Amino acid sequence: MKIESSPLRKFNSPSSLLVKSPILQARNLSFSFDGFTKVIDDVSLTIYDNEFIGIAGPNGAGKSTLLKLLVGLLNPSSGSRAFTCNLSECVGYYPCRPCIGYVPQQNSLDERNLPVSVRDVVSMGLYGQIGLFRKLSDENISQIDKVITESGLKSVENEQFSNISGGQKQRTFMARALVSNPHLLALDEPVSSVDQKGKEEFYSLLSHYHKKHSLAIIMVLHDLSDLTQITDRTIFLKNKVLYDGPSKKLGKDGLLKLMFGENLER
Amino acid sequence: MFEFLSYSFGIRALIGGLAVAFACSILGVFLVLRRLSLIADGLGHVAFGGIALGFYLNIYPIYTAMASVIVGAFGISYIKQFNVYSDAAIGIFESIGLAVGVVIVSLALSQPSTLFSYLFGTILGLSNNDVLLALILSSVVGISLFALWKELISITVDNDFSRVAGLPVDSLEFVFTLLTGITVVLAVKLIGVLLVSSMIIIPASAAIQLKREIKQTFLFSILFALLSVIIGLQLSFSYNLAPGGIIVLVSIIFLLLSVVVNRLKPNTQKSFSISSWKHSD
Repeated sequence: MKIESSPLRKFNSPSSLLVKSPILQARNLSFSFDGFTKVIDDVSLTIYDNEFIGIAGPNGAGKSTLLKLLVGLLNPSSGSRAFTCNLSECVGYYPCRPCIGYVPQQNSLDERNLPVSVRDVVSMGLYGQIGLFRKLSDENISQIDKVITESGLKSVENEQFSNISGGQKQRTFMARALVSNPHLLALDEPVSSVDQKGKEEFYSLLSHYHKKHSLAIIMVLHDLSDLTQITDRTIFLKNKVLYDGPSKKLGKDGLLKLMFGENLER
Repeated sequence: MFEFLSYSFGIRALIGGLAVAFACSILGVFLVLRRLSLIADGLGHVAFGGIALGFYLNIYPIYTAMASVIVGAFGISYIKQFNVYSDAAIGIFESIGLAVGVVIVSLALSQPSTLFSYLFGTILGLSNNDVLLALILSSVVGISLFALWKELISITVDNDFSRVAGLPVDSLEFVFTLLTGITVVLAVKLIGVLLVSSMIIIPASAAIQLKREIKQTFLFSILFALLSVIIGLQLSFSYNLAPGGIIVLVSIIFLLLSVVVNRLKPNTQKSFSISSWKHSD
């Protein structure tokens, strides 16, 4: 989709982050499924390099819808979005495919006993880049080996995907999103059906990628205590943005107040 | 053994049958894994309407069937945008196809006996042109599916991710729908409207039951389909049985055997990977 090329101003950005360069800017995004009820209402935000953002909000607040708008799975009813990661493939187009990695909700991929291995699933992260009718190159295979090892999946890489644990599945999805070396990783409730141990392993891996690879992360999360502990910045959504700022400043109590109807000052 | 090969119509039946079984068995794996199996049944009935129209307009029925199936396939995709469930969308077009066929028959302007032969297939009555068409179209389907297999597997596993990762999902869906339409029409000619979905669904389901890696799943599906045609034709000749029906029953036996093999297998999964054969094929 073509976008307008005019520069966008910065929105809702915490002052501590102004020195960082923006990766994605969204301006006055609105979205409605039926043309009447706005699921997303005039949302503006900027995602900066190396940020770790959590999106919180009650059910039906539009969290997953916002993420899908940002990754380009949905088109806004009004407003604009632009990637600013300065890759030549991205100029004038949305979304910037090489710039973004996406981890969808696990329940969106139902269990169908698909005859694919963990390694196959991770490889799929490169299919969009290598082009139609082409095979994986040696360089691609090295990339896949590297991300499989780094994600702790080496021991199960040849297992059938449907046979591994929930935590391993989520790490596989993350490895699939990361194999193309994106600048921004978008995750939609990645640990909603994962046990505590799997959750901790997943967060640890996420933190590793965030720090070691300077990866910007935006993640929809239900668990409020996890969200304030692991993210740098929280966006609280109730169709509109009710809070956008440092997670520490908000804290778990602040999030609970927002969740149950008492707005904090921005 | 294989005495049917001593007749030219037997040879034509074998070549045409193998060509169609090949296309159906590859496409079937994708359709079953994507939970779109019933689309083959629906399009088979749409093809019946197209065939009837062909008789009515005095056009080679396979051409009108092809046109109607392609319209039906895209129609099913299109009306799903209006909050119509997939199974309902298939049912609607299936009904339209059958209704058109029945109405044309009632006009008594066609030849009902020939038209009804399409309900059960005419594998023993294939002409040289039919065989040639089957060979060409099944080659197109087979080559296209193999050429696009990694992209099609990716959208089978996760459509949303594939879209974000940069695969041209809409174009791939378009090509896949087109190939489904072509395959269904080919299968209708051979085994008939009523059994078309079985040729697509059963060998693929039998192969998936074996829980092997993806390449082996495709190979087993092809193997089951080809053997069903060969054994089915032989049984048809030996015992004077309807070839379409017996081919399907043989494929059902393969499915049952696969279920038994799957049950008998120890609970440890074989390790496998698509990537392990990336450089070898």
